Amino acid sequence: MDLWKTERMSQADLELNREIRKILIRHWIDLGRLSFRSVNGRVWIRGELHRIAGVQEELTPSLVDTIFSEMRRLRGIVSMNIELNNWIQSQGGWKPMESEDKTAPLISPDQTQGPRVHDIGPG
Amino acid sequence: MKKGMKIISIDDEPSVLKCLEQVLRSHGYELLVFSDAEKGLQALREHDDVGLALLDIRMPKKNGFEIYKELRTFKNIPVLFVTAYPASFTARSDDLVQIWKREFADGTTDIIYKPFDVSTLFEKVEALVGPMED
Repeated sequence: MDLWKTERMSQADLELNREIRKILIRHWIDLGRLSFRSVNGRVWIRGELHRIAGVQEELTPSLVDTIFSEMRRLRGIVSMNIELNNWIQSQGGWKPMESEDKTAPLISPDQTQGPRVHDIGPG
Repeated sequence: MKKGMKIISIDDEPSVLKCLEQVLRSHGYELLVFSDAEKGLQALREHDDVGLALLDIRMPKKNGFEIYKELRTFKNIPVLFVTAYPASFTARSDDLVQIWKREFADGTTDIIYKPFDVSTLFEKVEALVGPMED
């Protein structure tokens, strides 16, 4: 059972979520491709790590390291569980997955529980 | 979080509003929906107890970024952009860059792309405002 779905967030966790968002924004990360949640200082992050379109500097392993290092230094962080579909931790660092499927849906397959929102038009 | 937290959603697509209404109400949130941007903004002004705004981006008359900027002039509540167009968030747009640096930087704004799973919607909403009480 996923603890991040069953345990309750506190006000401190909400503040942690906000600080994480601030870091992602500072690095021009596309928030729409990530999902995260903090529970009692334990942070779960999943999805895909991309910058928004038009940012000239692409994400590099050292930049990804920097982003998560900044998060780990946040006050109140107990642990971080990071599951990315397009970056993988290897030999102490991050590296892009080689066979990233450019046609994959925006939301990862492990996020497909529950009904989807259908019948939506452009907007 | 308080039971029945009020959320205002502005989207020109009635089917999206209906869906958001159903799923968020089922989790105890009180949802007010508007397909007209001006009416939605008016409601955001009038309701002091709104805890979250869900904003579509591409809408006639007034787009989501315009609503967002106007909202920020009188209320600082978390905002979740709900859009089918990831390309709306591009650093090639001077307007978006300004909003990103000035407004998004406070960490109270998030994005969800259509189509989305209900579980992802809840994750995003709860990460912004917390879960509802049982």
